[in-house]
Amino acid sequence: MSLKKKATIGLKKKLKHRIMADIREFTSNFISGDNNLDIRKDGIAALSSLAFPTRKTEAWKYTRVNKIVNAELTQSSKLDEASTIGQIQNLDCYEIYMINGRISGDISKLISQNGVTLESIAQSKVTNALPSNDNVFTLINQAYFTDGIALKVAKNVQLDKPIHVIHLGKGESITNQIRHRVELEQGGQAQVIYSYLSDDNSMQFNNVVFEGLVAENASLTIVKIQDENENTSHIAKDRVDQKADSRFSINTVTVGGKLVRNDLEIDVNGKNCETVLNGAFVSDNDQHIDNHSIVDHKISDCYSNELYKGVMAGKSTGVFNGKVFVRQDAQRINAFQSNGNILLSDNASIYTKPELEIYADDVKCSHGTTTGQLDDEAVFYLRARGLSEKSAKRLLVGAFVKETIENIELDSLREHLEDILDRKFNSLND
Amino acid sequence: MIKINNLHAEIDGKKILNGINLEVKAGEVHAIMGPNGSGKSTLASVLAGREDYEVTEGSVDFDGEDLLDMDPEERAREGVFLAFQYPVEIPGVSNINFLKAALEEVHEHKGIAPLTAKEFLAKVREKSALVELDNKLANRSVNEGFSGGEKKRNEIFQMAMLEPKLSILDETDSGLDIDALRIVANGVNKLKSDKNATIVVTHYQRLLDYIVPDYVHVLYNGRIVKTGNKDLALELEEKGYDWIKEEVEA
Repeated sequence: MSLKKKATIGLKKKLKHRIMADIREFTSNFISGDNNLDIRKDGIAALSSLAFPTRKTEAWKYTRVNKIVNAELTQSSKLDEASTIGQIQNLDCYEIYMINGRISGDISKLISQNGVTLESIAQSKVTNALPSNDNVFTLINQAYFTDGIALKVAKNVQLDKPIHVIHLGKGESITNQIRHRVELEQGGQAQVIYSYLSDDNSMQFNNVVFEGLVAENASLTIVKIQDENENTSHIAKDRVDQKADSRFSINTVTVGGKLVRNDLEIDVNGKNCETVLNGAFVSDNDQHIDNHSIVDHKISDCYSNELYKGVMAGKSTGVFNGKVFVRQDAQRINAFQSNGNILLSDNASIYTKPELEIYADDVKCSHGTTTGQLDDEAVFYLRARGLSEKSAKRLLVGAFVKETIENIELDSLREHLEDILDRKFNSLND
Repeated sequence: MIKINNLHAEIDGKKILNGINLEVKAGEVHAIMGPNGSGKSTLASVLAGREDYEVTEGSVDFDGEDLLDMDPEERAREGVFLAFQYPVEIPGVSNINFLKAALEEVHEHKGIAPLTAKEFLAKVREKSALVELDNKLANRSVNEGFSGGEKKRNEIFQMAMLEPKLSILDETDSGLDIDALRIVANGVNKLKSDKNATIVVTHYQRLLDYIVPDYVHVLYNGRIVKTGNKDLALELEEKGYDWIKEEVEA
């Protein structure tokens, strides 16, 4: 971390040392790692033997992080007041603003419902709840996280309203190391919406870790909206552990960001679980949106369904890599996975790889991916009714992508997501 | 209303239309008949602006405007309507939302105030009744999972909503049972006025029992080779197309 060390690293040093120093260099201006939480120490220790992923790292083959890690970033120390940006019309919810990675206002009294605890994760005694295939960014977050929301819902308590956490970034070259946790006890139920937005056009880096602990018969619903400006990058790890009879669903809607990488890791550790992963991603210009996911079926009699749809315009790139494991004793698993893509320009690309690894013999699993262009005949049909070519394409692309948000039950929330997608479609250059 | 003059068109270098001349006036119904491959559907497609076809010669005047110079959507907004032979299924796009968007763009083009939500729904109710189209179908995705008859009724429903000046019905009768045919024809007849015109493209005379044409044209090898009144259609029904071919080639 010290600058003196940095100066001693020469180009002639061995590659390993050079890359190690990169992580130190990258975090050298970070300010939030100074309290003595064990997980910070563990994170810093683990980082010392790691390097940033390169194109040779299989899981990062298509996603280069150079532009993020070569930037000189700092964390914000000042607290800005709340805003009204990003609110969801007609949705009755608890609203929390996080500005540059820091919670705005006192949230400890926001929810008065019995059995619900909401606090700043930096002030709670956070532990690293879930093991994972940690990557560098997850560990950097562990070592240097600024803040985030820790929500705990007690046995058989149903959170009375959704929580909406609105993240705003403003100011140049700031990194927001954000860490959220939701813990549902047996039979608990909650819905949390995370919006990631920019308040100006500056370059930022959001590095987010989410941990979800879903106990027996509990139900957790997450909606993640990634709508930052196109100078800001976002790397996220969402780790979830499901116990028997539980339900977990996540909808990820990504329209903003320069480089976005989502890693979902869902451990299904009990019978009779339901897991739903839906994603919509729409990119333009030089945007790069990468969705990786792992659903690990360790126990029998579960259902999982994954549906991701992408639209790539301009020179943008999409990546989809979904992996479903069905372990040896996990019989009678129904696991479905599907990724559909539309390329709107000759210069747009998608790298897609749905993967199934099945070690059990009595399962029903499918996976598939399609990539194509818009159906010309459908475009003509709509134009022959008076719609402009642009409206026709927008309508078709919208219908294609919006299938991924049909599962959202709250009308106002679904409409909010539709608006975000429509705004993006309207802005596409093709 | 529309004046087609020496129209030639080809697709992928293959000549399909070889000099069509046709004038349709307001209030008239013209039937275009002909054997398979004679160019009937091509004519309908070229008039609607399908971009696969290249017009190599000729002109089309639509109420004083050069129709061939317009994009498909401009033609639609100016009042040309094509009822598709094979209506496209569009999953996820609701019939109603798409029609609402289409009507808005048509109104904007004409400088007419858009319908209020209430007016629009009243219109949907009225026009769907015209073709006995179940309200539920109006709310479903465009043509998705519709039967053949429902698709064709949906075409006429859209026509009723858009109130075109010139309607071109491309083989609207194909694949319909007699009840569906009657409903579709009934809808077309109710929409007829002295201000609009209809071109009915069909292989079979059957439809013309219900939509009675003022003129019947026979298309063969991309040209109109014979024109008559509704009796010509009956003659074709009885004798087939061979005698026409012989007459042309003689």
